[in-house]
Amino acid sequence: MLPRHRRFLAICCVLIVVGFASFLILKSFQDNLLYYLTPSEVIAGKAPDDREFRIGGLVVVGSFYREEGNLTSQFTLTDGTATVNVNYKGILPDLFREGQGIIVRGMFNNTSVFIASEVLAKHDENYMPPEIHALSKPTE
Amino acid sequence: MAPEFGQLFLISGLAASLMQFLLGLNIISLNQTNREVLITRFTSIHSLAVFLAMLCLSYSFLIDDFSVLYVALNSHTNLPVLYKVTALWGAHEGSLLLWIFLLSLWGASLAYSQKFFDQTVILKIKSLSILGLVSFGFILFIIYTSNPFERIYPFPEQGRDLNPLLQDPALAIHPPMLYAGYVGLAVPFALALASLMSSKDYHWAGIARIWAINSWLFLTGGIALGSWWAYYELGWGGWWFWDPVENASLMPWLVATALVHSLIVTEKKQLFNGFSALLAIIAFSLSLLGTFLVRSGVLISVHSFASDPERGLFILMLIGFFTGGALIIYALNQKQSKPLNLNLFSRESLLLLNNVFLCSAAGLIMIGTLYPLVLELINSEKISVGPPYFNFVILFPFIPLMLFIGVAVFSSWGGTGKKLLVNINRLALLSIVIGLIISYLILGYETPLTTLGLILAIWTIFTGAMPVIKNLGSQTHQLIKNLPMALAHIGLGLTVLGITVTSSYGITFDDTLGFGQSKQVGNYEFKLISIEDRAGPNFKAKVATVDIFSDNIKVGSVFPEKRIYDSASPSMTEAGIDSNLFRDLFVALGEDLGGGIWSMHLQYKPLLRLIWLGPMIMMLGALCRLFLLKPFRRET
Repeated sequence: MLPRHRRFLAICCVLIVVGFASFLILKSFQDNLLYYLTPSEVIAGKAPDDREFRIGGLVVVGSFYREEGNLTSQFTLTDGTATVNVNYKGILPDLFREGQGIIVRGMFNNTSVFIASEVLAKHDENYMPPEIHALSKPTE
Repeated sequence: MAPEFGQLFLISGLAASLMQFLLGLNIISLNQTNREVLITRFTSIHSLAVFLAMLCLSYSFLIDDFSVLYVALNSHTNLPVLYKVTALWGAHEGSLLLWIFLLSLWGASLAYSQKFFDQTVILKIKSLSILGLVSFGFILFIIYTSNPFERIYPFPEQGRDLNPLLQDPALAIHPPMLYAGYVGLAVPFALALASLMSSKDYHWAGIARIWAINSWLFLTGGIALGSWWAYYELGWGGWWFWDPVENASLMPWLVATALVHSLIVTEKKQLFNGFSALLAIIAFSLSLLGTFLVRSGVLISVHSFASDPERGLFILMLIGFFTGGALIIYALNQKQSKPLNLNLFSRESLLLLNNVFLCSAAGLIMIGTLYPLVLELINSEKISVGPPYFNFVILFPFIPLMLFIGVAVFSSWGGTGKKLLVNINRLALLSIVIGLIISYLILGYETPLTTLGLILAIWTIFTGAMPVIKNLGSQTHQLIKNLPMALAHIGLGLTVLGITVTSSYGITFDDTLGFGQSKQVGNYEFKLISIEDRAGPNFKAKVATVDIFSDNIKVGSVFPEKRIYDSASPSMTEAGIDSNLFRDLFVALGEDLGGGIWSMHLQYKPLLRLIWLGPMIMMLGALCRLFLLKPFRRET
């Protein structure tokens, strides 16, 4: 084999490997993007129906319900204009309160209830995710 | 008066850092000896001034001077004294002050270093000058946007208290360690630029390596501490969340690791000079990026407590200036390099290859961290990139990286592959066999990735330990020569082993538990005995007693807590953990669901401790290199 041919072969191999790796990485990137929506955007039909996404909003005061001794809780999220009903089985974060801004991750089941697999609350007294801060301003 | 003095010291620091910068330029006519003496003095004055400013702020904390806004926001009369001291870096303003203090301290250590000789004095002057400019920029930033000495009037009777999450011994030393690592990278950065602008030779590499190892040491410790803290304090027993702020510390670590290895080649073989300089620039730029991400609040992150657009913009401008400026200097001063003729199996090319993998890992993390931000800027679409992305893509650089680490250990400078292959064959076979035995017979087969992870971890540990084992009978300095590398590689292997086993065989779930009831977690049975009230110095708590049984034999009790601090309304979770080297059993108290039933988070994590033991051994390796090797170097 001529050195030129060998070099050509080597470059081809590298390109194939790099190309394949980038393809897998990009695909994984696409698969793992989590969209972040407000309840209004969800109602407007922007929510993907085949994968998880996030909704950010305020927990409607008086909407929280949980049976005694049961891990599953229900509550409603709002951005001031639209609402979404959420169902979550698990421990709620320490900072979860009615009237507080939270973020939920999950998907809709076929009865238009959002089944959350994760609930995030704001980190401390003074912190608010920028999105929630933006949406809580007009109501305050 | 203390805050006013602090302010004064800060301004003196600003002036001294400006002088430090100006002395390095040729606009002041001085001979070189005087210039060196003066710049050394101004470097000390500058760090002394910042240190005194920090003392003033500490004093205000200790005497509960709530007329200082920063103290009022982050302290309380009932706060234990230890946390009054550490509250200094509990929020944005104070932590930046610490950042600058550590930067000036590294600068002073460079100024008084014995590493310079006559030929490299110019290198010392130029690099101190660059460090002066970096300090100048950041002190200006503090004074203009985030002054910790600002007063309020009328001042409150009582402070708002330090964030309860931060009232913890590990978190008291986590920020200083991490920051020491971040800003330590400013020294190789300054040395690289100084070299590019003056001599363009290889002298800088040996000096930069010392500070690169120092920073790496602190970064490793800081990241491990942060992970440990998140595990037991944040409440839910995870040890890595791919949170933007965690990523911001991991990226400089990866590049710093590459830098340390690249500097070896530059120092010993006079190769890759440009690449090392570029790595030094990137490493420090990533540190600055980390500061920006944490302090500007641009990303959806549990850490970004201080969001202020003005601050973000200022830091962004500083990053743009330093990174952009450095890259321009790099581009303009790049020497025409001689054509490289590398043997594929020589140590230098294997190190280069692994450095490329380390940088790609940092790059992939950066894409996942910054992409949401960029997308939001472009079309205001809000997304976040989840942990599955990071967990998946990190494998692409890391699997070959782990593979080649072992090969590189056995390679020789400029060497060919023939002898190498003979040496590593047996060890590779041994690692594969042991990995397969552990994965199939001891732990039980999980996924191909688990088996691969086990084999690679064992391979890294074996190949790391081999050079030391081979020299056990020989002279001490022969033995010690390989010790830093061996410890660092063994540490990495143990970490990977821990990560592989914990994530493949760990069990974690939420469930309900009533008094006297028990739940099965793997081979362990968790039984709730009681829940009682307890009063702490500045909080009230519910304490649960959970007994853990294995085959009906009690192996331990844990006492998870739910705390309500006097000052803040939301409650805090303190997990109950029973741990030994082989497994962690974890219980976090959820809520009272009524009817005597509580929700609980239960966890069984095998080999979890290795994830933090590994970094400790890596740090031991760095310490060996810094302190143990020196006396033997002089002898030989």
